[in-house]
Amino acid sequence: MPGGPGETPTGTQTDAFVYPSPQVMSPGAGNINPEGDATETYVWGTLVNVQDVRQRFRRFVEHFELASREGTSHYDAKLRECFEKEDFQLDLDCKHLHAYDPHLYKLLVAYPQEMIPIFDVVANEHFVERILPDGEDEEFQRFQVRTYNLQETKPMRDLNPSDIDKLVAVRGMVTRCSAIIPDLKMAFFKCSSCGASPPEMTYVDRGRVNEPPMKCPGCDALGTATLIHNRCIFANKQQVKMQETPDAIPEGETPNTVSMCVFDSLVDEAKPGDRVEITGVYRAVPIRVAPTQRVLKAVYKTYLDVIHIRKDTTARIKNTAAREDEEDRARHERDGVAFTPERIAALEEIGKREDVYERLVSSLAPSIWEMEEVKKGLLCQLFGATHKTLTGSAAGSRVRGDINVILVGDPGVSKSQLLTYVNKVAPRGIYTSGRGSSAVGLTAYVTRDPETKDFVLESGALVLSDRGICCIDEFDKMSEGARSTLHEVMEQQTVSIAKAGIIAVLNARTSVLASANPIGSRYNPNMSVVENIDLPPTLLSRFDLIFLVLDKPNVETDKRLAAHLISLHFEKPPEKVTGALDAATLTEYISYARSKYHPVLSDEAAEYLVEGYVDMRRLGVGGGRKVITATPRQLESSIRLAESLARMRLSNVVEKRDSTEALRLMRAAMQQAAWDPKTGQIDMDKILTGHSASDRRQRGAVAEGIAEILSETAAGRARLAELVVKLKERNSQFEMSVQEARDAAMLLVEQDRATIKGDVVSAL
Amino acid sequence: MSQNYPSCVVDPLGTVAALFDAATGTSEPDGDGDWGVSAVFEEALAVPGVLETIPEINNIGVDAVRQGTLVRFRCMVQDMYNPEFYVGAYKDETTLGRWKTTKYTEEVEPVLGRGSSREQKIWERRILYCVPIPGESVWLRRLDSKRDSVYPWKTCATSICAKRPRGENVVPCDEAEQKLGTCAHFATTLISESKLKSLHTRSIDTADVEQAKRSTDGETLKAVLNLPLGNVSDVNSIGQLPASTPCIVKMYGGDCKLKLNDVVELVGVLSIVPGLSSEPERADAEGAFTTKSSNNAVTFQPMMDFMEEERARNPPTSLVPRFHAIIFRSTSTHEFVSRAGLYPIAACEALCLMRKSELFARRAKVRAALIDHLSAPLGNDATAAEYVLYALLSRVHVRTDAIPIGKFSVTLLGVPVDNEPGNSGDGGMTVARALAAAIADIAPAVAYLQLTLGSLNSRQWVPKKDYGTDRLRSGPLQLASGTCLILDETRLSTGKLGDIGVRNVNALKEFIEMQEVEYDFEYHQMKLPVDVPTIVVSTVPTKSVVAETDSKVPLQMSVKPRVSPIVAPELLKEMREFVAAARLSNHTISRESSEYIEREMVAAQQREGNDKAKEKDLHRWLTMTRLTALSMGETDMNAEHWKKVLECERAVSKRTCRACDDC
Repeated sequence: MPGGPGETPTGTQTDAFVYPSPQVMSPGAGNINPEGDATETYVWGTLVNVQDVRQRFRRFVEHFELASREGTSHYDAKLRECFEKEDFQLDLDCKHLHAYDPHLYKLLVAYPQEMIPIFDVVANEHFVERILPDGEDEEFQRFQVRTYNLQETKPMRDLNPSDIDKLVAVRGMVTRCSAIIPDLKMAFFKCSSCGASPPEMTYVDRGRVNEPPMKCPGCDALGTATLIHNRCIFANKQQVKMQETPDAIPEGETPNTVSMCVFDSLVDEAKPGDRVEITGVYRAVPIRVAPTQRVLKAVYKTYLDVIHIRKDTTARIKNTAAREDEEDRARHERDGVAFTPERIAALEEIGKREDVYERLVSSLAPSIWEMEEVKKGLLCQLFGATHKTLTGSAAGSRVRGDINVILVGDPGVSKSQLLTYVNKVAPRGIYTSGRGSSAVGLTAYVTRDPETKDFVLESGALVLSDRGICCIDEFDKMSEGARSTLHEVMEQQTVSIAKAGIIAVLNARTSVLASANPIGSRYNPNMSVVENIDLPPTLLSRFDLIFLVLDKPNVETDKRLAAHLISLHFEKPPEKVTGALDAATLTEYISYARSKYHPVLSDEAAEYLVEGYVDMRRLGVGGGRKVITATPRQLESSIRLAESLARMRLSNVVEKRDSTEALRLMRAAMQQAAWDPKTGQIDMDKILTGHSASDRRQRGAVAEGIAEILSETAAGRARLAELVVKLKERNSQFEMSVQEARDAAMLLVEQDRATIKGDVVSAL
Repeated sequence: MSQNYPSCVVDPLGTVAALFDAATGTSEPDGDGDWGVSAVFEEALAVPGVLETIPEINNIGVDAVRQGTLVRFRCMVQDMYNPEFYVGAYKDETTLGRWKTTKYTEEVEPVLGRGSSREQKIWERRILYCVPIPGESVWLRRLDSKRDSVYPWKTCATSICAKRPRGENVVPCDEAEQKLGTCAHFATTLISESKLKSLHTRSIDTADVEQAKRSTDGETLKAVLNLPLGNVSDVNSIGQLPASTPCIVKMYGGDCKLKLNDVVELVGVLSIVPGLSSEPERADAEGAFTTKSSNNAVTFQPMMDFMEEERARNPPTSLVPRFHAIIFRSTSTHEFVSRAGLYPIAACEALCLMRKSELFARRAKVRAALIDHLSAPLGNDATAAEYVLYALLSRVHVRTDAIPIGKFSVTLLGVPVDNEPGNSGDGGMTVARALAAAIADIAPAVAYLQLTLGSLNSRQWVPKKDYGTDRLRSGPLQLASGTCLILDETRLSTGKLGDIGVRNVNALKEFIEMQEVEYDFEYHQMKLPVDVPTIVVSTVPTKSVVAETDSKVPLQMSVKPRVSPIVAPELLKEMREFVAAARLSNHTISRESSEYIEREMVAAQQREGNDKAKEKDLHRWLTMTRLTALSMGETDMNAEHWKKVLECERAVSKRTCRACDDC
């Protein structure tokens, strides 16, 4: 084979980036630069002129400037900085190189093993000539150029034989790291007979001693040299395995892995579990089966010689749901944008449409039928409200922006399915079942690290879903103790731990989405709502929305469901609801809205909310039984809902329509149309089948009547008592109590055509 | 043997070499190519009767396979390794200036001497770890090949064919006769050498196995083979068939879109090379064998720390042979039943359709036979047998983002406790085992899993990535689509489930309810859909302990359960084909029927209290309607089927009420 080692100077330089070889890398190398030599040297097997490369790179180091800092050479400054920090890694951004000298970039990618040593030499020359103060040239470490940020990052799957010996960038997740292997760099020999040793250390070139001293310099004995281990010089070396990131794996396949060799300062840079972007040289070496056998496997072993490791943090940033204060926001901006301008334009486009709310509702769990109100509530939760930090006397205390939702309802109304779906779309979330959750499992627990024997904190579900949604199924089956830990989380948004010498407060800025069955599994119409739910009022009041999901028969929906199921089972899979967003887009839209928009109440909206709150409070007064009373928490809830509604349509201002919808949602959640504030009971007659069709028709007719009366009045409002009288005037059949009139008016409220405040009905 | 076999069947590597030669000649191959290989093989296999004569390695046993011959392998993809870079073609003094390919083989001729100048091409191939289909029924394995018909071309099958000098090897494929002659000639001249070599191979091989067996206890062997259901996979096949052998399959050509757990039928060459594996591998240090630009002597220290991994991924070829796939096709066990031994898809589709219509014409008889067959182990409980049959025919035909549509699982409740299994009259067969055996008679693949505290706590049932060995450690829940899973809860006793046990139960729950398995990759989980109907057998009278199946049928036995009687082979064959055809069949519904069912459904939802139908019930009824129709050999749903389903459901709910009253 032509071209053995050493035929060209580049041959030895090849190894320089890993094993600095003395000839080229000695401190004086820069001064004896053979640029003036008559013979030109080429990279072996190519027409790449080494001198040319040197000049090009030197030009780059000396002249490359960043647009933001004109007039100073970027890499010269970097070298100075490195020197001051005593960190002898020069990180070379390949995008810079590409911008300055595309040809050199091409060479770098094609012949990294030759180019990088040349870069090293040039960088060192530059350093010695320009930067190193005089008189300090004795013991300085040589710079190593570490290239990163290639034009193209390859998916691990796309590495193929043509990439061998090329510079590649690969993204992945570290799965294993070997122990650090001492790699012999310089060997020290001593004669075992006379004790003399050669004056110089022997360099080791890739695991081989180049010139083992055969003859002892002292006594001329042959083969007496022995290696003295503790006088040899070793370098760190480590083997690392990296696996494809989950999102890069094609469906139904297992992840690919790649082995890597890491040297010197890069050792222990990456730990198992880290997401990294590796820049390195892709290598393949043949495998001989056994030293004694002639059979060769036709197989090559591949690995990456790592040049640069960049820890990838973008994935995490993108997932983080809400950014709650200025500090966070600032960090987010610094970390760069997770969305490309095109995506932003597309998402804005979605947000600017009139029907965005409806579209979002239809996009959420499209396979679950009806339950529009619940879906609206869940959307509010997904989008969340603005976090507020109080100033003034109460400075530092926070008001949460996370919306907590509980679904209480009959078994078999797809509550769990909704939870699973929310967990799927939520940018970050944990799903747990109350039955198997313990208090520590939810918050945090202290455990001994098996290796160090130290106490360590392990996060529980709530802490893990910080800034996300924690879905807790079977909330009612949860032990009392576990549930009580939620008190702190749901209002203060923290978890305090005082165990085994560890006292800590962890952030748990999470929204809780819980689902529970009523006491006795089925909703009992003879008991009040609170009695049915059977959760301590302290906990219940921390939920912004309490949805009663009752199994009410309705021929119309039943029919639709039946038809839907039949088509699902017997015909083609149903078409997606037109205009609905797919789950991925929905997630993206939510992330975008949460990171970009922080709505603030407008005066009008605020006023409206206050009125609504006063109204609600009035409803709670009176009646001896446990009823849901409005507390200031409800006011906060309505504000939060209104804010999230504004965020849904990508607005920074909460408008009146948001307030209206927020209040309506709160009412709808409680089935308030059927709720009797006097007894605290839900009038099941109005929900269940017992309610005859004629009754319903009657009520509808009355409601229409009220609507007409209202439209006739100038102010568009009337007292209930007046209505009763007027209705009777219109139609003798409409003889009713004030309560019945209120029921009929409630129908209008449900349809969003009127509001009731006290006993005044006003048209919208 | 007077039949003529195409040369590619007799000497596949020779054919490949010839085709390569023809395609490239003396010029340098400009990349990995096909050179018409797949076309030649496809054409050869399309000839009726040819496919049948190619031995299936798990049918005849790997030991009986001769090197270098064409073999078949029907398997499930259990794991996927990294792609492999290999020397695909080379040229040096030994090849007389011509390029020679090493595709479809494992080794390269060693370089002669130090000064040898070898040029070579590095290509890429895909590596799959394939296991025989877990729980594959014995009859299916026997279906398309008979043991005695293996190697009809005995005279010329030697591995040495591939090693003849290139020049003589350019034999056109259609001149099979001539080829056979040449082959025979070579066989005789080289017979002594081949004998020597094969003897040598065998002895090392057995030593290899012996060593593996000695040095490793059963556990390790299990870990090496990584069979989802362990070594004893079949309910009643022990001793009848050679031991299951997984293979490391090497796929060529970039466009194989196989997924984990896919069932594939491969045709290719098996390679058992002693020593090619577990020995500590050493990177080659000789200058002659390095890549172009790394012109220095490279002594790359192999992954010292990951030695264990290397060993685990490359077990001895005698335990896990390497299989070089020349052609492949995805299939499923059910598909295989109806078109075993047929190669071209188009031809078998037509034939299958014919067979299906024939079968469906005799549906009444076949259906009765099936119910009889299934009810015997259930003490003649025809209703329960009906439900079991539904489960056997069920198939997930649509997946919405929340639920799989079409799956059907059933729990048989209140099965008598059988305390002394050895004592009962039917040879120690419990109800569950007898049922599993009966199902294995008619279904292509059955997995029987006994749930005990021990089995649940001892190992993870869900496949888990073991980063120590860099392999996907299989678990019993890694099953091919269409396998019938029987969970025997009858031996479950009270006790404590450990961490693993709880996870296993959760996994089973998800498996049955969502038809999904979450593979554990430690740093992330990966959900894979499955399509495995499940039958749970429980002694509890009210509900299954581990999971909520679609239907729950309390068993009502009128006689003692017994092993299903032996059926006439002709009828048995029909039953099997019927099950396969019905499971794969499509379905339609007329407008009137759909309107009728819709009305019925609405009415059912209007009922009060416990009678009120929930969405879950509606799903079940619709699935059952489809299955009822298919089980009757009809593809068009109608009101009759719906009525029959409701009848069944009424009968079952009556039983359920009684079971409740009892306790």
